[in-house]
Amino acid sequence: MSHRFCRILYFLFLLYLHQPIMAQEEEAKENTGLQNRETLIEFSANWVPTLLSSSYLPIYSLSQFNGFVFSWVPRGQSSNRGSFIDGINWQSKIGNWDSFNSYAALYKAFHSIDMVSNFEYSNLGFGNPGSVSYLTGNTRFFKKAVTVATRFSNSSFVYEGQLQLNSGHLKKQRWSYQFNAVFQQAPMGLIPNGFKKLTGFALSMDKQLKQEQSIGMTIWWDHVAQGKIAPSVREAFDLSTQRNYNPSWGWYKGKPFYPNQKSGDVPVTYFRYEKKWREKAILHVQMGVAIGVQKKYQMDWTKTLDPRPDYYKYLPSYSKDSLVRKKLLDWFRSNPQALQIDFDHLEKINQSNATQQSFYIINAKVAKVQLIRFSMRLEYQFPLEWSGQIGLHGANDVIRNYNVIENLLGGNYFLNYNGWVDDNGSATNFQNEIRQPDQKIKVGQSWGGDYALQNSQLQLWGQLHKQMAKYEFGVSLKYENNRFSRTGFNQNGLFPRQALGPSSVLSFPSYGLKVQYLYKFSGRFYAKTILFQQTNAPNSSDIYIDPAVHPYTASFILPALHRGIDLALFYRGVYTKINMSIFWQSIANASEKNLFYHDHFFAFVYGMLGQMQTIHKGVELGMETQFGGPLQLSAVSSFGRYYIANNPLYEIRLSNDLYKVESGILQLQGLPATSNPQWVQAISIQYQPDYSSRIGITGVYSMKRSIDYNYFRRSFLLKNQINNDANWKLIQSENYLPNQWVFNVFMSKQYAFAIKNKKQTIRFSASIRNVLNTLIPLFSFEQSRFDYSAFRLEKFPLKYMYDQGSTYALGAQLQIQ
Amino acid sequence: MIEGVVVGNDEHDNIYKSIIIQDSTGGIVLLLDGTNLYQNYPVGAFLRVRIQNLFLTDYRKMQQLVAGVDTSNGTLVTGGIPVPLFEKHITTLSDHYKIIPIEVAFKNLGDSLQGRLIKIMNVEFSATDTGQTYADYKNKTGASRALKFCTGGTIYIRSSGYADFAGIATPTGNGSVIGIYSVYNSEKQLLIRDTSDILLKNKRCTGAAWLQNLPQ
Repeated sequence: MSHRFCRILYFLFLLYLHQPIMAQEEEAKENTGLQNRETLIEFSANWVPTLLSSSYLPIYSLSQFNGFVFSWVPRGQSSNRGSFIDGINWQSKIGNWDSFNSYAALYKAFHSIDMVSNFEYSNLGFGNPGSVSYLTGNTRFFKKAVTVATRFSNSSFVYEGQLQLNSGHLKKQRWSYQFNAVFQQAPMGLIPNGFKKLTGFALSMDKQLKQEQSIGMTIWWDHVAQGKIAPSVREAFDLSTQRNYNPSWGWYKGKPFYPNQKSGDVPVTYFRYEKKWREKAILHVQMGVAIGVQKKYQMDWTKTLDPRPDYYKYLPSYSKDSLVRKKLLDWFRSNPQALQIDFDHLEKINQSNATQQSFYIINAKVAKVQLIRFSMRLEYQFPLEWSGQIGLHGANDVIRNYNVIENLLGGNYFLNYNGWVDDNGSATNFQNEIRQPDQKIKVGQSWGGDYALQNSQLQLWGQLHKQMAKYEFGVSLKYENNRFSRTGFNQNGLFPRQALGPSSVLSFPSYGLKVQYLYKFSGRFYAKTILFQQTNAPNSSDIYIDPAVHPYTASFILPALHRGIDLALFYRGVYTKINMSIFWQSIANASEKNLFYHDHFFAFVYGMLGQMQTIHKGVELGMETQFGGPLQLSAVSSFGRYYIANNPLYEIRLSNDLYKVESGILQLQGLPATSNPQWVQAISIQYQPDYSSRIGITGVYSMKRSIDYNYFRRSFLLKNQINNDANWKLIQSENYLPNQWVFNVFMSKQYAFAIKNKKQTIRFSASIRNVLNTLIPLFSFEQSRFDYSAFRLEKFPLKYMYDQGSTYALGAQLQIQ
Repeated sequence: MIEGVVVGNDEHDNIYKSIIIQDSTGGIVLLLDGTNLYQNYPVGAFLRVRIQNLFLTDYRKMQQLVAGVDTSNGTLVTGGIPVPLFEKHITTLSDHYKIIPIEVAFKNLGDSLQGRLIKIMNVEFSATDTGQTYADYKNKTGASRALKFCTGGTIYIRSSGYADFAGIATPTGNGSVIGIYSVYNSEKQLLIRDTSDILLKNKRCTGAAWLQNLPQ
């Protein structure tokens, strides 16, 4: 056979192998409407990581889409989640607002940009873990198409419908727009958390102006209402014989009733402006607002029997008498409704007293959200392969929090009292509003703490990057200042002088420095190292002890100090990509705070700890390869150790008057720092016989997944009091959830045809999650309540929440171009 | 099965983890392992109690129905009916049943009246117990206050340190008192629901009968 003929054959062979890759990208483009060259580059897996966030592909996609059942977050850092849309971070340092929920199910309205491309500062990855997402609503990323899709599932929703209209670039008027509408519904009782109802839309418009300028705007709005599931103890799960046991719902007037819910109505609007100076410079400016209301509903009660069916005193294990224990076991087994709440009975109690004062209510915690954002970014290409970026980011957040009675459960009114206060005989201690004592609250009226938290943030950052044939070098700096304050609108009896009115303003400056060096051994093989150090301002939840009651700040507020180093090697072949990273990060000055009932002091207390240091270190290995023609394999191994490196300080203060009753050092050194799995092996096999068909199976094996610890029971004081080495050793021991596999399967088939010269595609997809129906605890935690009197470890056991088991999703999508 | 009307509960925290029911023949204490029981079983509620698998015991000669009896540590420890089993054993037949306390003279006080709502007449607190608080509310300890019959005889008002009237001083007058008859070994006691059961507004006893009022 001639040499030339072999070369032709080899070329054809390569072309044949290359087809599936092209087809995958083609399919991806079909799904998201991608067109532009730059997006093709981005989407072609430029997955060199920046900073200490993990490789974008495959570890990021495997953990995000397949590992969430194990709470697999690469490198064990689940905090500092950012939500960047066109350069604006919509997360807030004030609690009671979750930006991710504000655009739930509207993911197709945004294009996801690989946040780890090249050397991006930071807001895109500076000191933040790989759970930061970077999206854009810019319509130039979407080609002209009309897409209608529907899905059926038994997971977080039952059915979903979606409509997407992309105009493409309208040449005459230089306009383009993108409209996306979605609804999701799960009727009552078909999913573990009860129900879900979501309707949302997103609208983006962009216009090309002269001189390489463009303006655009995006508005999105999700109206969401869904039930919430509550964790419970193992004993309750065993009694119910259901992995999806949810103790927080019950029967009311013959229908299932889920008092624990959340809802959101926070429309977000922002404008963007872009100007380019040929290839020299580009300026982005964005401004936006988010104004609306988010609510969390739950049952509340005061001075009455605990209504929770899994309350520890109601369970068989609480009874010392074996006969009574047996009676309870028999009762729960033959009366499964006893493990749910009887709301009709609660209504009867509310109505049985002379004035029909409600002891049980459904309360809505309301957060009135007002966020204002500004972001500016200028990129400039200097001579000699230097480039630079500077940016300015400003935010002003005000979130007002108060309670509103949603349902009096048959009663006439609810007294405006603070049920957490210890009654020491004072006439005003328990009053939430001493200007109107003994207030009788009706449905729709507010009660309890009424306060607003404000955060103003200004951030300035800049970076320089030099890109040469053999190496790349970059350095970036950041300076940020956060100012917090609290304003109270009610005057409670516990802190009458402090509760009402504005508090002093607290200022937290912070800085960051990052250096990166990348050496290219060849066009395919290179090494990269990143060094960084930054401080982070605390969140409002770390600062204020109990802002619903008073403006006092926690005892150990220091800026968290992050330092770290990442060394990585990359090989990027035609059919195989391999990466290996070794990382080390230290987080110092972490703090934590908790309100709980203390059995030794017989009172509610605040536990606060501070100056805790954690270390996250490990090795990540990732590989993607094409072998055997249409088969693609992705594999990831992650070996980490995330632990507490020191014994932090702590205090316990009474909630009534903040009197310090205990302080000292907690013995936490060596305990796992997170509940994310420390060792994970994941493998994904995709078979694509032709461009329109795909089957994939993914397996994730999780190891060393710790429970969440209650730190305050690990004090040296308690160790001396326990006087039982065996018990103390049990308290000190590390506790891990079982090592487990989860397997997920995905398949899709696409048909393309033309009608009147218009290309149509229909795509069907099916997926099964947790194919083997493995019983997987989503998480487990130690209760904040502990038997500080008799030190019986079994009195307040671990609580769990379990994965739903095997779930499926079936989808169909029609796209007309 | 027994049926009775609730005459005492924990509404004013003088009775703890139990309710007291009575019918025309007698009364009994029912131990329930819960709090704020008055909301489920208010005074005047007419109940049916399934006593199968319950135990009849006594606490210092005061009879009671309990769910569990544990002698494993050498002493008798009784347990109330756990909250999840309330509806298994207790059904409320009707509410707002009015119970009229029976008037009883000192000489007729006896075990047959255990757990029944009674009314005693012409009584007053002893000199030493007049003007004292019903119980030690500061230290949360109970106290017994002697009630003397003008015609002779003494019965003790037993109050808990946790009662919401524990810090109120006993009145100085003479009159009638309504309460639930109980015993503590040989001591005759009366459990009041709250201070509205104390109706001592008349002048205190005088005369020969009072002078002959010897301790019993």
